[in-house]
Amino acid sequence: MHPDPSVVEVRNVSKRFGSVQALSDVSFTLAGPQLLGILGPNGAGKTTLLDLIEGLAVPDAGEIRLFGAAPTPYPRRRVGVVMQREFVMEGLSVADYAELFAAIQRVPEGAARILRDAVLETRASTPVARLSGGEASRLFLAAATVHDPELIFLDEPTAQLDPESKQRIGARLRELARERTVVLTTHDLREADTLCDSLLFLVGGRVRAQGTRSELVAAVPEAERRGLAVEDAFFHFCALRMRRGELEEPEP
Amino acid sequence: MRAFIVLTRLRLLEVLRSASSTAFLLALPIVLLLIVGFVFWNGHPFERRHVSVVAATLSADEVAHIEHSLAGVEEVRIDVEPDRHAALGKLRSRMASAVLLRDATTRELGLWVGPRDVLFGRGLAGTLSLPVKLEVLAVPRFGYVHFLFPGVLSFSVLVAGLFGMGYAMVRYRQSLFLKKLATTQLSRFTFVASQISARTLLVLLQSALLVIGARLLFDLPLSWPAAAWLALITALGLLAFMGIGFALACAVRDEATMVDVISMLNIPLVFLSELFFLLDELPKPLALVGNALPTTHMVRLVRQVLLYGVEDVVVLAPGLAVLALWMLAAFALSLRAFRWHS
Repeated sequence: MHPDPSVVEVRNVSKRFGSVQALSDVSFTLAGPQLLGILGPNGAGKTTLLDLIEGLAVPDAGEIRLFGAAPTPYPRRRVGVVMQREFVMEGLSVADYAELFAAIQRVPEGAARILRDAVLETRASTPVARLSGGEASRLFLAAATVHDPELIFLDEPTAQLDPESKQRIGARLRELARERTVVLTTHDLREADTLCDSLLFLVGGRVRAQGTRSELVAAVPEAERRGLAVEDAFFHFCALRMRRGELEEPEP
Repeated sequence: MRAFIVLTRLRLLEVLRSASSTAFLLALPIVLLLIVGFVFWNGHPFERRHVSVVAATLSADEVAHIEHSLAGVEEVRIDVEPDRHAALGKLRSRMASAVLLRDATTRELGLWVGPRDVLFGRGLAGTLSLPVKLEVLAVPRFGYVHFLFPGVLSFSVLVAGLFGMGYAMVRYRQSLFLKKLATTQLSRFTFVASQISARTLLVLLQSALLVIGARLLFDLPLSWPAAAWLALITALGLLAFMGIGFALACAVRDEATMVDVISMLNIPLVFLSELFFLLDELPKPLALVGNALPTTHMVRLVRQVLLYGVEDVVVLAPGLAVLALWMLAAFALSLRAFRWHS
């Protein structure tokens, strides 16, 4: 869908908030349609990294390029974002929400499309605040993608969802990732195992490992394999090193 | 008992940990006392009687004579008014106790007073030692309500502006709504303009209801030109107050603090905006502060168009310019300094 060789390039990016070093020397590149999962425990720097790539914050050091160019002005038309916590105005109905984001993203007839994609046509008059977690997630995803963005970011999109809703959102994300670059953060290793094409392990603001699922899983020694492939890989690359206090050196 | 003690301690800490809540609780009564003390430093604001002199109808010698005659009278203050309409408007709204003017047809020098000020009028006529004809004007029963009305209107617009922009922006930022919007193609200008439009429509409706209520219940004087001016002044005042609310949102982090800040701001403004009495009655430094406030200018503008029948744009222009300046300065500062997301 996008002709650029690299959709996202993050080069040696660092970010500090007061005394907290949120990200240190983070680098990675994404080229072509795929679903990247950024995995890490709470406080690993996942949201900060997304904020920087989404143009909501500026790195202290390093460079971020989108679609082969510096993101100034930020290519909002080509990017869709689902936040970790979405705010909904009091009393706002599903139809109002859909109409708002269709208008903001400048998509005529977009409201109907959001309702259709979210499978909420019959609940148009329901206040968004009264939707179930799964329904709300579908609505937020449909609204964030109504303008057909080439690059989609989702910050823990399935946190606190029931298994069925997780599956539905996951299926939709796989569908989107066929033609687009989708980046999601999660600390759910099981979800990452089933969903993602490539993975980036982020711990303490540093990239511990990055590669396709099969590359990372293949690197885990037989003795460390417990069952869930991505979980094995995560602990192999991150947890053991955390215990040994080897956080300074990023993984090769 | 243990639970009682722990809950009491936690409740105390909940308040004391917040600087704004602590200040509101402990310092506000002291601040209020100081404000009242300074505001009424010169005594009761209604102790002094105002005599309006329509200078355009009198000769320079007559004006000088009047000023000379009343120079030593502590309880009387002379206000020079541009025309008969403005002077009698002040008499009707009880802001003047007497009006001195020469009738254009009879050429008689008239001393106009309300029915309750006949004795004062006689004393004044004697002090002036001029051949004046005492005239009694039928003043409306709700004259002082008419005087207060512009203040009521201005303060409802002030609160609507500060909350409508300041509180809403802090709330939207805190709830990450602004951050969400920042990830979309929506421009900040469109967002701010939509907030302004929605609030302006609501406030114009609110003001219209207030005016209609005052007209029906308290016989508020109202003409079509005055209503048109009123809409314009209300909209401009609202924009200035929304700009100030937006500027406050640059410094205030959370909704609770914003409520405290707005409440604290309102208290001194009540005394410094000519709501209940004119700034002349205040000590000089406070009067200077009051003169610079947008609320004072809005109150004066509304009073001019509603009570004194002013329709001339040249007369209203200075007040309108002050409101416009406040609006421009506040929005320029806010658009530069506002943190759209943390």
